Amino acid sequence: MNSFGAYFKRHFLSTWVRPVVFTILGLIPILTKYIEANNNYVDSGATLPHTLFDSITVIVCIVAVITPILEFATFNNKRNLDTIFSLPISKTKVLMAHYVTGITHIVITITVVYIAWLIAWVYAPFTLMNEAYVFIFYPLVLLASICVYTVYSFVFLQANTIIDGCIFMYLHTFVPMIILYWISSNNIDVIPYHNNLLLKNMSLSGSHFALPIILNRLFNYVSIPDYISYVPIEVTFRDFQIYRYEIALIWLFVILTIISFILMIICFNKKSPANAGNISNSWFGYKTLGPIHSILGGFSVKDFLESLFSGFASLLPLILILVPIITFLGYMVYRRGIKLKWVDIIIITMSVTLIF
Amino acid sequence: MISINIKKHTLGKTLVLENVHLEIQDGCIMGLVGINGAGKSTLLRLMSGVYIPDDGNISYDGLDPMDENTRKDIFFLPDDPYYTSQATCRSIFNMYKTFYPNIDEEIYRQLIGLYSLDEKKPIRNFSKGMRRQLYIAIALAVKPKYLLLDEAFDGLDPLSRKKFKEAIIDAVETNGTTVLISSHSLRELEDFCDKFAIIDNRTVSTSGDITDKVESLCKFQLAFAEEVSERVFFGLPVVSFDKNGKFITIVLEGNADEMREMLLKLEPVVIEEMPIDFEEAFINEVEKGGK
Repeated sequence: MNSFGAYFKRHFLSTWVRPVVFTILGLIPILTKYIEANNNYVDSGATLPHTLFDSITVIVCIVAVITPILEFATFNNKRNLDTIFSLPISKTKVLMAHYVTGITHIVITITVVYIAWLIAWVYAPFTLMNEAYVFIFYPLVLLASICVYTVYSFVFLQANTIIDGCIFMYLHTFVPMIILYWISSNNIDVIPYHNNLLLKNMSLSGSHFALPIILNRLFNYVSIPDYISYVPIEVTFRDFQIYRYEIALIWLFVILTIISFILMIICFNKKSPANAGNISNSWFGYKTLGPIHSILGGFSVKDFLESLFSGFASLLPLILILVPIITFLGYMVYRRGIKLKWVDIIIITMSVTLIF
Repeated sequence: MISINIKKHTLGKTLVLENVHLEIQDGCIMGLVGINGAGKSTLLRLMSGVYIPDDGNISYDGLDPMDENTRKDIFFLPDDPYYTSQATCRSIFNMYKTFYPNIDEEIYRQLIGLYSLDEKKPIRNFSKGMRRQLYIAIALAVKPKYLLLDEAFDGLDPLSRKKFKEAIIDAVETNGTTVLISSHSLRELEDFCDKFAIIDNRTVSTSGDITDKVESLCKFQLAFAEEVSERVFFGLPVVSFDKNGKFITIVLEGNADEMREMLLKLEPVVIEEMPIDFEEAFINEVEKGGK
């Protein structure tokens, strides 16, 4: 067996507990609903299909977001890297062994939960379903989970500590939304023949979780909660409309995933144990997230709130003071103290200036 | 042969190594010495492929250690090796067996028995020295062509150190292993290393044969009828000078007999040659470099 296969096998076998735990968590909502449906709760049976989405949403959030932390936290430990990087296995193979292990955990978890749900659907009373969509849902959920996992794996690996990695993941979630909203609000002509509404709709739907959100809409065509009349409503593929901004989001998401995968390999090959545990200075971390969130994010929040709460203008200054304060706290976390650099002060000042 | 040519290497913004040029012949045991923060551990990590040199290269018989195939012949034991909370001797052995399939289980068992280590006990309950013993057992069981050891004696008791040195010498004689070992315990290194390299001021200031280095220095203790100043010894190759009233302890670079003849011309009341060891030679070398 080559070094990758041997390392992957060893690592996978040592982490078998994770998919078991994730699967149990995912099965709980289904099992609960199934028991309720069999106790003659009519609405429980009719809403059993929705239970799958509850489970899948939980799983996508837990598995695809937490798995990167579990798989790659070991690379933030200097002692571990000293040993791992000296072994006769390339850095790329080490990274892929952990990455593929995470994907395997995700696939196992989602597959088992999906099968359990299918069984529950077959045997539970009062369920109404459009079978056509049921079997499309599974591969789309897998794809969405793997995409979210890949993006967050890259983001987490940019950090030198676990806490920084979690912060990066949280902040990255909103970056596409913030940038798209800012571009659309300022009528910046980025894409020829686009309209601002497209970008604004994209921003409001998020990006990293775009696929699950679209799948949620798709799922409304899968389940038919017309339990009162027990008349199944015929729904066909033609009735499901995917909106233009959703197509754009899917493309954005897929491109982000591919770029993340490539950058993940490139950046990991440059990783040094000397940086593990130190301040995270990656350009994909605080250096860009700070300015994006404080300057563009602050502006976007202000614009969004003004559009929603025009009658509560007095609240805006209070809310907007929070932006520079949060930015300052963010830089304190970055610099591990209150001794900020001049570039940090400039960014905080710019965020206040542009917002007001 | 290991060929090291590092023009520059930094850790963060700190320049750690500069103009390091060293060749290590096969089958030798080389001691790597230097003061704290000199760059010994960094050099070992560069040699094992853990770090990539900013400018320069390292080769093993012409092969790059960044290539995983080259690293099959290299075993690096860091000062603080990796283990999980549930790890046992057997699980650590199995982990290394994954990457070094030719690891000799018989040697591993012999050494585990020699050190009286419980194979089933979690190693988190081992003392520092016991963990070191386990990793030494694994390192020797791998039978690598090149063995890099960082602070190898750290935590070992005197008996374990003796056993360890015997095992290293046996590995060199039996398998032709080339050993590079860093340690602050120079007396231990002097016992069984045949070569040395001193890292000082971010570079290899001196390297060569330990015996030659020690024999290139001589130490005398002199007593004079009157107090004398250091000026009296002007013109002599003085490496270090220590005065205690009328008593002088002096280290000179050169042949002992020749130096004795030159010192006798100063008419000391008493002159006695003292043994000099590698540690003193190292201290003199580093202090000389600091001037």
